[in-house]
Amino acid sequence: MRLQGITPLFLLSCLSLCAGAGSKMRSVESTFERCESVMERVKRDMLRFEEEVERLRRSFDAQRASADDKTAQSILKLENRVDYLRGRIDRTASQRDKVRSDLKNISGPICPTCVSTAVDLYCRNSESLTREIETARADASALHDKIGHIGSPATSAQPRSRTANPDSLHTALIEVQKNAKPRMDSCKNGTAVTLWSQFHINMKRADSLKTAGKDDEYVQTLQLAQLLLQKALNKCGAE
Amino acid sequence: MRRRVNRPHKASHCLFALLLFCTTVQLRADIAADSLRYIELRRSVSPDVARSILETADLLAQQQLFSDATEILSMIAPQEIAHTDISQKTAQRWRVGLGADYYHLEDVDTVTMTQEEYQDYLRLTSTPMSLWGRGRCVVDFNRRFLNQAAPEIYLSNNRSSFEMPVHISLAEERLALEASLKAGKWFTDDATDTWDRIHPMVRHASDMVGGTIRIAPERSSDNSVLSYLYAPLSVDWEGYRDDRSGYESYVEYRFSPGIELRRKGTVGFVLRLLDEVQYEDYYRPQSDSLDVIRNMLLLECAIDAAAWHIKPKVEWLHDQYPFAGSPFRTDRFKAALRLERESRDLFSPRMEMYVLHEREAHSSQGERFTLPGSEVRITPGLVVKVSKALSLEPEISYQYRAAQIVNNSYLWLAHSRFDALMRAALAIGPLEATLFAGFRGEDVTSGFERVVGEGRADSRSFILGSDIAAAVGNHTSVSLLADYEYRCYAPYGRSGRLSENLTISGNLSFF
Repeated sequence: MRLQGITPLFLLSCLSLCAGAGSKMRSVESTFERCESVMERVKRDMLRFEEEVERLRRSFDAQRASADDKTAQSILKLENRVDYLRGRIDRTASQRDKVRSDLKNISGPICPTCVSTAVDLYCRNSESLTREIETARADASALHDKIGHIGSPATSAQPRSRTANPDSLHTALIEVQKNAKPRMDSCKNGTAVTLWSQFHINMKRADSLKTAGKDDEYVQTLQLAQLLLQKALNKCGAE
Repeated sequence: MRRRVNRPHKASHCLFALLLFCTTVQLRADIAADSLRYIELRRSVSPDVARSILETADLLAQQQLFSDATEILSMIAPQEIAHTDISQKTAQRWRVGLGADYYHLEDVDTVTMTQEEYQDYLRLTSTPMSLWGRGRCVVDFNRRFLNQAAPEIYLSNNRSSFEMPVHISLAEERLALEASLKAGKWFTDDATDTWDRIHPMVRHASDMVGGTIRIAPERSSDNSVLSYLYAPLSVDWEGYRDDRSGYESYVEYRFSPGIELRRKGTVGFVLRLLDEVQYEDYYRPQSDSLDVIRNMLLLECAIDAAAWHIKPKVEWLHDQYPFAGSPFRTDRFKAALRLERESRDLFSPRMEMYVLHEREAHSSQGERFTLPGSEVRITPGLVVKVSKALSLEPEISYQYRAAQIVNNSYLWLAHSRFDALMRAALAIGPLEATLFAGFRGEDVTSGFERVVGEGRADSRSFILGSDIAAAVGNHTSVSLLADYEYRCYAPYGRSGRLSENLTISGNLSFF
């Protein structure tokens, strides 16, 4: 008797629970689809980021002499970030594959709440990837502004001072030398000390070559001094 | 409270021991390779070259500074190198990377899970470690037409891939042609699959072959303002053994012309205008609805004046899906502004502003509707130069995302987010390290709480991370990237969910 009274209520509850579960699953599916489109965008952004880093590497290789160690390190960091992000995208794409197969088998062995948590995880990862790639692309773009394209004036200017007036280069080097002296005197890096002393030797040589009227060698020696100074400053972490 | 979280410290220890060993071995190899390169170059240098260059290079070489000596020889006087000729010789450069990535991704509450849920969670994250290696050999041919070939092979515990791009230049280097072949093979079902199920010889649905052809008329200019003009046209093909979701065969046609203006001086600027038109043709009948025509228009500018770096950028992205109903069109408008002061002062301020508006057009059961969404983000920050090697970078960021629910659908979850971050950047010689710690708060907009469920959306997180890169010798670098997030969900306290996400990635590169 009691059973007869309860049955309709029980059935109603079951039906509403089923309807609730169905609606819940639709919501999970739509969230998943939304995050899939985010992930699609992530892959496109990643492709662009990889292309940008590849271009930077080629530009850098084309102008290695005029670039400094800091630029080389920045490019290396970007390449490492490409590897890191590729791994994360692979991992997130695999989560997507699993979620997709789970959504197909939802009436089978997979529990609905499990799929829901898996979708949450997938969405969270795709959102954080979007941000990280955006930041990495901004870094790549800033470096691009600095070093330019292959063949662009920023790169093809190398060797930069060849066309410049050698006397103004000489004056500029003396000026930089004066400013850098306190910093270099306190520098403990052995390589930097060697490069710094070679810079001085070559500046003296340049003066003698100018007095002797050997203009070509004077210019070459000044360029050599410029490179030595740049390298010495880089080794000591100076700008 | 029981927590069932795997913490494979042993694996991390093994990884770092391996990295340390490889680094030590590589240091010896670096010196030997540099000295050989120097000797080879020194032999080919013409005796007419300026005495100062030769003497300086020799002196540096005597002090074991082969890399610097080589650079002086090859860069200061490239035209003086004997015409036999180094430029006609084929040169090779290698880059080999070995890495291990560890993932512990929850974002789900393992404490409150049922046994069934927990088993499923374990299944989803069953292989937390990925090991990989990537080898790339760049061969510079230095021939009239044939410039470069750069074969690359990638191998991990779950898949492998191979790519072979060749660069050719035509019409006196005004036309660059790049042709590339590629192939991919999966060893496991996916990247989170268990290693004991590796089956490399089985025909995997996502095994791929493909190729790319890219032709790029390029013009760099000696003009002081016009820096670069380019218009690359490319065709890219990827064919999978069997199409399945996420791995569909396609042919992509892309045309991306651009122009760059660059001026140096007291007020220097770079102005870039790019357009990219793209058509992706998913040629198998079951994937036809994925066909998409994309257009991207970008205008960006970088201005350097009085120690300020100002970078405004506007971008429009348009996607049209000709054979799909929902969505069938997407438009995205972005504007960003970055201001940065670079100086030797103690404090250098910076600021980033970002505005985004997106509209996604859908069609369902004969009815058309649009899902709009907007985002505003502002990120002020400061660089405090504590010393030559150390700087501290406090930063706050506020993001607000707005959206509308139309036909029970929405573009994204409307929410506000606040980040407070402290970064420490350390640069000591070949070591560059950035460590950061911060707090993050996320609150979902009230109308959207019912969509995600009560008490599931708002959260507070504690975040930690690092990005460390160190050069070891001239041809090796070690890198370690780590991100950790500890998240508490509302209602905060005993009944709230907790989750932890950790990603560690270490790699060793030889180049």
